[in-house]
Amino acid sequence: MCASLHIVRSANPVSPQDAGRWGFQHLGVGSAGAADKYAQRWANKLLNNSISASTLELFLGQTKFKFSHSTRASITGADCKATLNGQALTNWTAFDISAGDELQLSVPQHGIYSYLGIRDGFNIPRVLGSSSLNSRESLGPNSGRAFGKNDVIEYSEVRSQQFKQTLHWLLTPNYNATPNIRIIPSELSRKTQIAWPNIESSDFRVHTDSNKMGIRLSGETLPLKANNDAYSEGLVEGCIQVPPDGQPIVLMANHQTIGGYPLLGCVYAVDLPLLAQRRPGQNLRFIQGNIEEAQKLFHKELNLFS
Amino acid sequence: MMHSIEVVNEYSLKVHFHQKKPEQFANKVRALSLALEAHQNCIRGIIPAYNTLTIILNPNYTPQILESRVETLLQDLDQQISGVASKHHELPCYYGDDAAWDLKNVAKLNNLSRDEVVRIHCGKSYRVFALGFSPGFPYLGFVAPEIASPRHASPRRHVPQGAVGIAGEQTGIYPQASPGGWQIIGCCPTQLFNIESKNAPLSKLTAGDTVSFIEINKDEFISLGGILTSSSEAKHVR
Repeated sequence: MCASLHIVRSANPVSPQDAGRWGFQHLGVGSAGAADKYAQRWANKLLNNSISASTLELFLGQTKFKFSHSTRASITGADCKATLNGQALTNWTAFDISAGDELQLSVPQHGIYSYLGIRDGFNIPRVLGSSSLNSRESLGPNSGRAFGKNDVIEYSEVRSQQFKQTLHWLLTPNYNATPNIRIIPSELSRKTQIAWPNIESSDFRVHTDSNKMGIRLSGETLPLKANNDAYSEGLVEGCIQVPPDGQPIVLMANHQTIGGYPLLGCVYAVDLPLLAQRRPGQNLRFIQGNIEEAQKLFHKELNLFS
Repeated sequence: MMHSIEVVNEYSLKVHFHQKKPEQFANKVRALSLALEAHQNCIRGIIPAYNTLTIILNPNYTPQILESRVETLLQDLDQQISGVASKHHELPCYYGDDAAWDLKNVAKLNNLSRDEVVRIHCGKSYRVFALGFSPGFPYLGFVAPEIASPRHASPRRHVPQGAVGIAGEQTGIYPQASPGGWQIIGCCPTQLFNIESKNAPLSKLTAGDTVSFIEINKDEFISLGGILTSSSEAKHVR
C-alpha cells in the first residue's frame, strides 16, 4: 500500500539523504549524503533498515509531518523535543506510527541536523544512483530541490506493533560539549613541519559563513603554503583546506570534488558528525592524529552499522 | 621515483605523478584511470586532476591494500610503450559582445584586440585536465600566455550555462548556470552535462580528452540551442 508523508509545515528545507552518490566523482559530481552520517545511519539502524535506505534530513527542526498510513519511524540527531500527537518522544528512538499520526519537531537547543527514518526507507526516486539531495549542485530527486510545506513523500505502509526502542545513552553524542577534532596529517603538513602544538592549543570557532559545503573556522592562522605551481587536486569529505588568509575550511558533505588550496590533513571520519553539528560561534579543538587510529575507529563503526 | 602515493584518509588514496610536462602527467593519469576500471569492486570513485588521481575506496578495502595494487599497476603502465587514446572535441563558441562579458577586459589586459584574443583562444587544442567545481565543468589547459588573465577579485553571483571562461592559464566552460569568478569570453551552446537523456553520455567530456574552440556567429549559436543572458543581471558579489 502506497502511503504518504505530508509536510504540514516546515521553517526550513527538508532534504532527502541516503548513503550518498558514488561513482561520478570523476565527472565533478559530489558524494552528497547526510551532514551527520552517524545520526543518519542510526535513523536506519534503529528500524533494521538497509544502510542505503532513504531518510529525511532536517535543518534546525521546526517541521510538522502527518502520516497517511501506519509504519515505524525514528528520529535521531539534534534533539527537537519531538512529539507524536502531542505526546513527547525521546530522541534517538524508533516508534510505531498509526494512520493519521502527526509528528512535530521544534527547534533544537543543541546541534543543527536531525534525521527522520522510516521502515524500509522513503520511496524517493534516485538520481545517478542516489536519492540524496546535493543542494550545492541542485542535483537530486524533486528536480534537485529540497522538500517543503505541502510536499508529499511516499513510503510503504507497514503494520507494526512494537515497543519504542531508544538507543543506549552511551551511544548518543553530546552536541553541546566542545569536540576534539582529530586530524590525519597531510603529506604537505609533514613536509612543511607544521607546528602541531600551536594548532592544538588554539581555540577555533565556527564562522557564520559555514554550511553543508564547508565549515569555515576562525582561530590560529595556519602557516601552510603550497608551491605556486601546485595544481588543483581531488578532495574528500573532511579535507582541511588552508586558503591564503590562513583560516582553515573543513569540507563537509556537499563539498566540491576538486580544489586548489593547500591541505592540512583530513578530519577523522568518525569525528565529522560532531563537527557538522557545531553551530556558528561555537568552538572546537584540533588534535593531531594518525591514519592507523583513524582507520581502527572507522572500521569499528563500519562494523556497527553493517 | 616518477610517482608517489599518499593515503589521504580512511578510504582514499592520492597518486601524485611527478612528471613536469602536462602532456606526460595527463597521459599517466588517464592510463591509470583506465587501468583501474578493472578494479570496480574495490573502488567507489576516482578524481583525475592534472597530475594527481584520487582513488575513493569501497570502505571494505583499506588504502594500504590498494596502495600495493596501484604500485603494481603503475609498474605495468611504465612498461607500456603505446600512448593512451583520447577523444578530441571541437566545441562551437560564440564570442559576441552579448555573451563575451569580459572579452574587452581580457583584450585590454593583454594589449590585444578582441579579434586577436578570439583567434588565439581558437588557435590551439586544450587538454581536459579535470572535471570538477560543478558536474561536468572542464578544467582545460593551457591557454597561450598572451591571453592568460587572472580571475575576478570576487565572483559573479550568476554566470550563464555554457559560459566560456579564462582563469590564469586555464580555460573552461560552465555546464550549468552558477556563481563564477572566471573571465567570461564567450558562450558554448553544447550541452556538457546531461542527466535527462539515456542516449547521450552523462558528461560529454572526460579527463584526458582534448578540446578546441570554433568561432560561430549569433545565428549559429541560437540554432544550436544557445541562450543569451544580459550581463547586467549578473552582479559581482561584494
